Amino acid sequence: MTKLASAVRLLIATAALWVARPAVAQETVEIGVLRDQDLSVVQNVLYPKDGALEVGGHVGWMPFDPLVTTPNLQLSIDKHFSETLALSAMIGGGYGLKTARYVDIEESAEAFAPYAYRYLASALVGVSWAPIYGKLSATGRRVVHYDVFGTLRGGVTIEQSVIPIPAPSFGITGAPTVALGIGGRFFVGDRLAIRIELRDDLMAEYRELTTRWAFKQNAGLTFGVTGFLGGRGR
Amino acid sequence: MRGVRAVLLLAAFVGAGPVAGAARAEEAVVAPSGSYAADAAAAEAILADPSRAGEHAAAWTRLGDALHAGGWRYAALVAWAEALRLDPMAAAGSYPVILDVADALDEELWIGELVGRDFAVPMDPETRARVAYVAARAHFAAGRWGDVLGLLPLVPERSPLHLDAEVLRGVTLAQQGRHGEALVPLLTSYEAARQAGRDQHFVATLALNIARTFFATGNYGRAMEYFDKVPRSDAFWPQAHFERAWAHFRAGDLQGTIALLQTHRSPFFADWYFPEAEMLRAQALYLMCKYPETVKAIDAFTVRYEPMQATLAKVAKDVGPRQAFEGVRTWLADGPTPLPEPLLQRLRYDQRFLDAAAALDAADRELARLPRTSWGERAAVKLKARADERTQIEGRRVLARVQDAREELAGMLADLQLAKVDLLSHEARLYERAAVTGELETERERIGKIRELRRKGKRVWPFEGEFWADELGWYRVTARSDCPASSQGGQDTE
Repeated sequence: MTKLASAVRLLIATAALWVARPAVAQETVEIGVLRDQDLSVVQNVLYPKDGALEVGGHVGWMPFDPLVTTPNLQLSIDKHFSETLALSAMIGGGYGLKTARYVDIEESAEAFAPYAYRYLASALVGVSWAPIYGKLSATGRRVVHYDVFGTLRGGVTIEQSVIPIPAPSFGITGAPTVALGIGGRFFVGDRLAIRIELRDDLMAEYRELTTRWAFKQNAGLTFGVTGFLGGRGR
Repeated sequence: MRGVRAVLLLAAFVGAGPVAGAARAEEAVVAPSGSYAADAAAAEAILADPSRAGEHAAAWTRLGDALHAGGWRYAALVAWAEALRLDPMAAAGSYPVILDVADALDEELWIGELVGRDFAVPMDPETRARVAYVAARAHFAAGRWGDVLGLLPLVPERSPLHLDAEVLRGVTLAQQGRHGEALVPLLTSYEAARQAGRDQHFVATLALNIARTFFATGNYGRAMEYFDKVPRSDAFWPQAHFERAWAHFRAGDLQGTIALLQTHRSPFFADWYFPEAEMLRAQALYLMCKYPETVKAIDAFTVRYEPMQATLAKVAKDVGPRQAFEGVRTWLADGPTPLPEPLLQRLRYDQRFLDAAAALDAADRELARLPRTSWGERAAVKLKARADERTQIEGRRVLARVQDAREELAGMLADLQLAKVDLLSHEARLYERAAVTGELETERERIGKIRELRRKGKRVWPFEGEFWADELGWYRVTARSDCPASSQGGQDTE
């Protein structure tokens, strides 16, 4: 079972206004009964974000690159301006490891190594928008409140060539990045949440060996815990 | 008359000089020896000799002290109780430990009756305050309000029990119907309890008492405010929430009443005994001219409570106090019980019953451990007698609850049948006049309200017939009244 109390519902309801007509006396109206529509549930937001500074620590993994797989750690800082909108920053670091496929290719008879780049670190700043607030329950007894958010951040990603490149550059490059994300917070208390985010970092990076700019995508999942630092704004 | 008794008690206490009292106590003291077994044997020698009846009070005290030293707390308490019965002076030196043990075994009401009989007994100021408080509690339990109010001034402001004494004063005044006066100590105690960091249940219980007192004065707004201060996590929350519905009802907020009582309709309360909640809901629906809904509520009530009424009648006839007590104890341990379960739900949180059950378990363990000596046998006989008495007292309390419920349900079920006939005629007339009912809320107004609530940090969920645990207590009703303009609050004027 799930319920949504979101901008989406409000949007649907607002749209219904254009086609709705006021009830008139001639219409069939149920008299003397209490309908489900006569009842609603008004609750406080469980994890009130408005005005809060939210910080979190996350473990991440970029599993979608066939040549490099990257465990990483991320730190998030979100300054919320309302329940839905926040300035969102994320910094992190990790180390891309060669996948079995990369090693297979590397060890093949042709002695050919793919020209892949590994993730080292990133610093991104942007906005986060959380229009959906919902809750779910399996039996009605244990209920979890959550929100769903999207992010748009920009910044820089530090990457390194997997093929060793000697000093002075060591194959390290800074890539301008635009990152799109979608995620959810599952509220476990008034000030604590579990946050899951799927993020796709789109970057343009200059590659030293081929002396060309290349487009690269780092798609990864992060799983972490967030909480409020200091008092809440509201 | 009760007031006079209280004044006399106070006079006796004030008149007793500690020096004179101490002298009397010294006369009665039997010098203790090193080993508790030897002490107990020495006390037994006196108790077994009827010609030394004048020394029996001191001997009981000595036996109590010996049993306490040997680790038999309950046996010690019953021995001390014997001493207090015969001559409180003989137990004067043991008062602090007697009060400690009585507190630990939740026997303060019993001991309070005994220690409160003689305030001439010499004791230090702290012990005196404790004696006054437990004696006041004992009088309260017996409904002797005047005596309670007479004793409570003996708990000085500096005493750690002063806050509890003030609460007791407030509750007693409320019991006397002096609600306005009761509010002063209750409200000051509430703030003091919060500042002193008293446990949540204490503060919540106090809030509930304040709410009830405001309700009794007709100040329904303040009553709602204090009912609302009982947190959801507290055992009294379902009761406070229900009583808050009464405050809304009395204030004329029928929608609020129905919204609050929606919680008690949920499956989470299916095993609870709240017939009055269902009756109140039916009444609110009736006053909103929701006659078909009222008939439905009445039918549901009948289906639910008629069988329970039959069970209660059987229990009242067949079950004795001991069986009732054991029935609850077994049920608390998830065993079968002859009693209707909804009636027992509140006993899960009834500290007095839980403490009694735990203390009687302790008594059983002590009975098994008491030595088969003459003093051990003597203590065992007294302990068993007290355990039986306490079982009877608690069992009778459970049966009183059964009897109250039986009478309550009998009255409600009889009234409902009459009301239903009346309702059916109202319903027929309602359909004839349906066209002149009030206006429906427009979709635009509804969305405006949702937006306003969102601005206040609230979320609005639709009710779709499912009950979610986290939604209990948060229902709102926006139903309009279906009463035609020519009728007022369900009373047909045609």
